[in-house]
Amino acid sequence: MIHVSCKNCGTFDIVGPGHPAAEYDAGTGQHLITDRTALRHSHGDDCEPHPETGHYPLHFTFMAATVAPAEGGGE
Amino acid sequence: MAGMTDQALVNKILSALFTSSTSFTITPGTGGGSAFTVTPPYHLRLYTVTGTETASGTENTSGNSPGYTAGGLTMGSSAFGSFTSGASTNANAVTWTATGTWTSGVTGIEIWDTAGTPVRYLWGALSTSIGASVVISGDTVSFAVASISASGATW
Repeated sequence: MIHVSCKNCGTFDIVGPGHPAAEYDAGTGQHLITDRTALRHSHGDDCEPHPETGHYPLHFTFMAATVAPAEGGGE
Repeated sequence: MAGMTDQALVNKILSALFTSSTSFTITPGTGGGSAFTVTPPYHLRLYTVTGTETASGTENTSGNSPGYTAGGLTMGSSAFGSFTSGASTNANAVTWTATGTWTSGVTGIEIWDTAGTPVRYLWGALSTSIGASVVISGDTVSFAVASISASGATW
């Protein structure tokens, strides 16, 4: 799961299986965020886009990764 | 033979490896092979192609992921908490700030030590990953405390 939040206003989204911003890759078994615009965002009056990119800066936080030092381990 | 190692020993070995803040050398007895030096701190690296049990993946670079530098960032001291039930999680958050569009995605991670010639210790795929060109300038990519689980429970 990835926690995605707006760095300005704090609006956040939890992206995992079934989220419209993520596609399932059957080859890797991963849910891949492919569409930034599908992330939930409802900015308040104090929320401004990045001056250079025109986009709202986001904070992507991995909440659960997998590192498996042994067969069958992890998650 | 999976699951052959006493779990108390697994906890001791993994705790020794991943909670140490100083280098130490394991010196085998006669006929036991070469000495092995463990060199903290560990670095967390990002991969656009996930590695395997026997080979490293394709690491993100400053070219395709501005704000990221090959070799990754330190996981602090100690990198992990003590292992119980054969498992533990990262003790500190690790964060990158993008300075341009990351044209390569992030699908996996690896954890390496900081020896002169770094040694790969852990690798794994991310359950949810970030595709190409999703991260742009001004974004941050972070691994929260306890987001990375390392398990030797099935040794």
